[in-house]
Amino acid sequence: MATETSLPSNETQDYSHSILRNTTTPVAEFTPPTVPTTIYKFPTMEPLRFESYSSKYLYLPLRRDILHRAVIFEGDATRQGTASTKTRYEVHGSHRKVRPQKGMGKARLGTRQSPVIRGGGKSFGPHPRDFSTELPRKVYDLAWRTALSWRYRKGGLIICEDGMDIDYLKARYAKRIFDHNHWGNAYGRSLVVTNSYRKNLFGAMQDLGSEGRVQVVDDVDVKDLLEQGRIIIEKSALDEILRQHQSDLVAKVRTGV
Amino acid sequence: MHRTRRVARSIDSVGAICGAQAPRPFLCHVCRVQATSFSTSTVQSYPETGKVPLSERVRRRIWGTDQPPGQEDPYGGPGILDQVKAQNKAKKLAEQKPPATSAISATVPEDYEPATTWEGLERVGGYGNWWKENWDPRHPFMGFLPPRIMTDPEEVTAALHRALVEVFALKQAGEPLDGISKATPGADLTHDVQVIASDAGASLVFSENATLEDIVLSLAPQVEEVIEENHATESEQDIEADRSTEDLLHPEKVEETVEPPAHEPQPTESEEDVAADRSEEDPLEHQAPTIAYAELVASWDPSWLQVSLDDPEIKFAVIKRSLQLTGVRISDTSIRSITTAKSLLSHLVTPPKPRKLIEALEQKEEFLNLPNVKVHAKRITAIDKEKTVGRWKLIEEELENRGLPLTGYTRR
Repeated sequence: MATETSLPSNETQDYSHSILRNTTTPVAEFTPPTVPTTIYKFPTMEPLRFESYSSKYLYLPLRRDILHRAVIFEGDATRQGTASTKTRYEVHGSHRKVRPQKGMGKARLGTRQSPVIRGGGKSFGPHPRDFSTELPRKVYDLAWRTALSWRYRKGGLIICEDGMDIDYLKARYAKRIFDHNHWGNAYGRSLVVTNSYRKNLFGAMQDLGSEGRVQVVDDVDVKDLLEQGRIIIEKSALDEILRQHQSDLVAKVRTGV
Repeated sequence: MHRTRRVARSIDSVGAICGAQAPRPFLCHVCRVQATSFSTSTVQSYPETGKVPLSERVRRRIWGTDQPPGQEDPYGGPGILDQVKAQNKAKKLAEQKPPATSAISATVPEDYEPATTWEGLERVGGYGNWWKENWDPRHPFMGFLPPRIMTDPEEVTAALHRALVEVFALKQAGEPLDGISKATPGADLTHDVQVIASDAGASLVFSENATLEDIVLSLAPQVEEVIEENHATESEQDIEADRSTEDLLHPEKVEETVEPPAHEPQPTESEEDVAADRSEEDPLEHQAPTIAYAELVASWDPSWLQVSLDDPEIKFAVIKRSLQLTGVRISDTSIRSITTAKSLLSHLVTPPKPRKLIEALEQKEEFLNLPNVKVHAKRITAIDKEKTVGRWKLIEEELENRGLPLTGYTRR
């Protein structure tokens, strides 16, 4: 993960092309109210139009701390928490005294469920529990938009027209698309996010885990957004994510609670 | 003991018998067999001694002649199936040979000169690019990006100039700008066109070679012909695009490659493949004119770089066309800061961030020129050092002889 954000447009142009000497690229020092995005047609990646998004959605500064908290929050919530052991009171068997209290020349023993005996109960073993932690909703929503903004700033947020699917349910066809667009393994793999299940795309990507992943927007979380080389996301899916994670921006957000 | 006769069993008598073979006195069968079983010399086979084997003698006696019909050696030689196969093979060869020889003799031109070096000769054998060219023709994919990404800054500059000219030509002609990328990039007609920044964006100064109509026409998707060609030769274009990445960028060649199938009504896939493989590859490579991009760029009035791209429609069209021509994707973050052709060009020619240290160092060239510094792409190991002095082969051999691992550990 990057330690600091860098605008590609503000990069030092140490590449000296004869025509470009003495170039002063205009530096945007202020945050513009909106930022442009290009909408592409999915498999061919032909640019269709520009669309603009609010800077509060796709142009937030990188906050590693918030991203970290969100990832930990998700990781905690994802823990299954089903590890379980039996205490001495749950171990099956008779509670008969193992041997007489005195006279055997051996240690005193009550029941065979005792934790010191093999086959006995576990004193402080794990029991099923919920590992999930809490994170203020506004912080979590900010983390979502920060992750998307980081992608946007790095040029790794590729927004596609609605109706993303491919023509054939063939892994080799999907691989061809990935290779042609420089999305595959050699380029850090890619996450494809759609608004709903697409038979051909999902089927073709099933055996193409080395090149990238495809997920429905409901299954995506912040960690997924940060993991791979780039995100290819359907516009409606992006809008859905932004709509669901704007609690710190709008007055009231309807939740399922 | 008493079953065999004493005379026949003695080695001496056997030696006498063997020594007396020159006049070949008569010996009964039992004597002969026992003598051979006792002899210490190697047993001689029938053909060498000139003797007729028992089976042959029986055959002769059955047929009553010295030359019985049938095989000479019915218990050896190829079986009947093998004989039939061999006969069929010979027949086939005999059928194939005459046309092959005639074809060769017909195709040898009069000015044929045998080559003395292998350069320029057709490579025969192996799979070559066969799989690449014939990979999955049933699922064709044609992306918007060209198969090759331009890296030469002069070439990129020429492509941007072309994009600008085409966009402003469309605008000047009153055509919608979204038709900029409808046709696959054809011949570059814009070499002689000058772009001059003006208040209304840019004005174009056309030359005799390329008029406004020519350029606008070249951008229009050729409805009748192109669609037919696309349907007929889809796979071929794929193949073409895969094989030589420069073709899309040197469109003169592409047009020529598309032509021949257009004459044929509906070529089958295999025909196309064969045609693409055989006839069109070599002429293309020889015809490819290398354009001196540096001179070309220098011939333009430098004010074209000041053309404003503030109009979002024009900006989008130029970026889209330059993406189609160069394959360099402009990130969304940069779009906002692009206001002139110059700023767009700076984004196009900036090489991508190096993924490896060696790539970064190669771009700098400061370390590469130092006399006392060597830059390697990989860590120099002990094996590499041995290789440089030519000792590694010997070490490897010795290690293998002793069953020792080459790299420090054995894999089980």
